[in-house]
Amino acid sequence: MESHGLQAPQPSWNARVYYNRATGSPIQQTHDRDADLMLRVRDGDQRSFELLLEKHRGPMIHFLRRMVQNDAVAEELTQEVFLRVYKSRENYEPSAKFTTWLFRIATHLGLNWIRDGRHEKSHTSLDKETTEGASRQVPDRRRTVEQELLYEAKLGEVRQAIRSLPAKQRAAVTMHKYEEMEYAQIAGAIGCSESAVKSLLFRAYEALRVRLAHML
Amino acid sequence: MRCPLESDQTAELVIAYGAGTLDPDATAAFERHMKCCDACREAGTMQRVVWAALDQWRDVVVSAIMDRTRAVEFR
Repeated sequence: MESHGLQAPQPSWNARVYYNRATGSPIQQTHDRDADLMLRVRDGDQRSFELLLEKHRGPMIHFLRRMVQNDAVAEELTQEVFLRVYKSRENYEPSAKFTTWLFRIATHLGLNWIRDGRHEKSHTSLDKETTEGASRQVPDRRRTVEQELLYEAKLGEVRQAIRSLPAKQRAAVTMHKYEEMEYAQIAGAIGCSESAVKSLLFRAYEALRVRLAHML
Repeated sequence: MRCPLESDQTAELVIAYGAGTLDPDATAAFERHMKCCDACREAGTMQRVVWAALDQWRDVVVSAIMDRTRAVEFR
């Protein structure tokens, strides 16, 4: 299947053997096509990087957009994520699933941005964009104006409820609910244990249950 | 069924019930328990409400800004 109009090459995934840079020993087959692509990037294949970028930049923007709740910042941070991936290509070793590594970088950047309090100085939050009609959320043409207004109001409440969560809980919920990541992957991205993730998620959903109870 | 809110499986069970990812047997057992446990009935019901509410926030159109900048940055 062709993705986004790209003429993707059809690599033979078993044809190449990659070596650990430090030990020189061959790397066991990863069964992770993205990790294999990244190993090709490590070996200088620019096209493989473009494929990774094409595949993951959408989910990455969506994740960061929900994390920082600002379109422009989400795009900047996404750019920074891929810049970091590209810069670290020479030292890349597939020790974790590629997406876990990618989300670890993104979570780190998102948490830092929130922690630095830069969101408080931001002038273009999603709420403001929505108010000014500049939101990139695609309107559903099947809805009437009234339904669209009601939808926007509910969406605003959901955004506000997510924004009210502590940053790590916000990251965990975003990965769990919207990226459909497993607990182990979320744990890898946040840098904590699986049981800590379950606890983070339970507390986060508990808070959301209180905030969004009226939507029953 | 032992009340899940009094055990270690609380988070996973309630979250999976809300997401509709529990297997049918576990779902039926939890729903039977919900009938006689106010706390679980509230947690389970509200988790489903939260799950549906969060669906309001759909994915967005990826900005063309990325297309412009990436061409410059990664070359």
